[in-house]
Amino acid sequence: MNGAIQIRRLGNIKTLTVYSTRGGNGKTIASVLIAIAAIKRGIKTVLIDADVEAPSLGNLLNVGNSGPSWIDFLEERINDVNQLITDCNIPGLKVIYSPNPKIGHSFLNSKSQLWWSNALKRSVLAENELHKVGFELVIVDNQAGSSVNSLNNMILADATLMVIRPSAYGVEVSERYYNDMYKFLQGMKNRSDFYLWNQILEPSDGKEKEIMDEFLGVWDKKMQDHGLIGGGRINYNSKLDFELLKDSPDLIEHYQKVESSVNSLLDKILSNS
Amino acid sequence: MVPIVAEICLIANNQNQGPTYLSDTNNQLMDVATGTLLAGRMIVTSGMGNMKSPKYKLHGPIPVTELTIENTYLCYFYSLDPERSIISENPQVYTQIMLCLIIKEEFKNLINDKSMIIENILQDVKIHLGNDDHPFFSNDNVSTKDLSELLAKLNNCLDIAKKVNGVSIYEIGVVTSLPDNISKIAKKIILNPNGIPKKDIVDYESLEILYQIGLIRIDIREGIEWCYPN
Repeated sequence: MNGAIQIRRLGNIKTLTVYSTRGGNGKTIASVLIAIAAIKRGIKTVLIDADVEAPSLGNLLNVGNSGPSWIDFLEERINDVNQLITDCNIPGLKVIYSPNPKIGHSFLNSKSQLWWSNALKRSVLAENELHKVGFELVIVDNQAGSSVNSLNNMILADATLMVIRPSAYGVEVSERYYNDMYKFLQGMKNRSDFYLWNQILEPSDGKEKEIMDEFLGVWDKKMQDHGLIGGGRINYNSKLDFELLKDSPDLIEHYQKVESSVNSLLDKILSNS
Repeated sequence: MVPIVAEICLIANNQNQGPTYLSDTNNQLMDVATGTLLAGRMIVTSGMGNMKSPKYKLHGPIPVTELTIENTYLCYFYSLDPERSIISENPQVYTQIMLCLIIKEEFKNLINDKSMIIENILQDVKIHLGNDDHPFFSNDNVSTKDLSELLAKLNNCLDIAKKVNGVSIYEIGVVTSLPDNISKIAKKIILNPNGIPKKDIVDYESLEILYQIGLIRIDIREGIEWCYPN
């Protein structure tokens, strides 16, 4: 914490959707880190695994995958959002998980437009209800890439966070995604949109540092020209990769390493209320 | 965009003198081969439309006979309520006022499917006939303007209804396809599954289109009109 004053007031930012244009950029870990930072400030926070086709939060946080899930709510088997909320291995953090989809079952590749339109209606209802029952911050861990589901989850957001790794092919996709996605989202909620550089490799020499700085500088400008707000940078942490090999990774330890960056990001998000 | 409704005519039926053509939107639809103006044909056709046309229900299609204007056209008739719909000093002199909608044959199924939307719009229409006491004199400028506005509104609604085709407002692909002003209101209503007071939506015209095409419903709750997503 470094004794810095941290923003707790939420204002209009009540729902944050974390997304990336492709998998592996670290949006789920980023979602958890922001959630940890929020609960440490006393902000009552719930984290939804809305990546319904490739969920990971349940396993990552040892939720258990047995109680009522996000899918149960979307498909109207559960109507009370309180029944969805579960504890996890991070003290104080509440989670709504999505179950692992069964390949070949009625789940993958078979959802109709009607399913998705109803899912959007239910998602908006859930988001409203979660705030009503006292959650000050709802963090939605979105599906990567562009899909109806990812767009549905963006609609919920008062703030969005695009998590990106520095790679030319990755950010070019982000730019296209940004143009299309945000064109639709215009006129939805008054939203603030952020981006976070994640998993930045440590340059081994001056030349590499120069390449990295130039790359980040060029894309910072492009992102900001699109109206996105720079949320900061988190460096690659090989120890986290090894930690993720375990059944129950210690994310608190990783959080402590990047606490300053995550708090700075959360400050930026909340100060844009 | 090809207009679904090509022309709207206003026809008065008087028991003594028969059907009289009052006005149209001045789109100048005519048979170039014969020089027959649409107006002349409509008077003939309206006799057929009048025979079976129930009040406040769209009646048709009735072929526009002997009129070839590039495409085959069909007529639909709708009898207006003179007391509520016609602003005139002497509305009672008309036995019946009919609106005649002329459409290309290719849109017949669409018109039949969406007849309720059309009836809802026509039910509230107001056409100014002018102030003259003469029963068959119309103030063309006024009624032409009214009819032109009605034509634009009908075509706008039908074009959107064609895209929407009975889906939910939460079908975001559909919302994307709506005109910006209507999409804006739709997005606001999407975010309020438990309803939003009508007074909180400034653009009533777009709201009405959403209502007409079935994307929202409006109910009264505790004396206040609320809009709900469908």
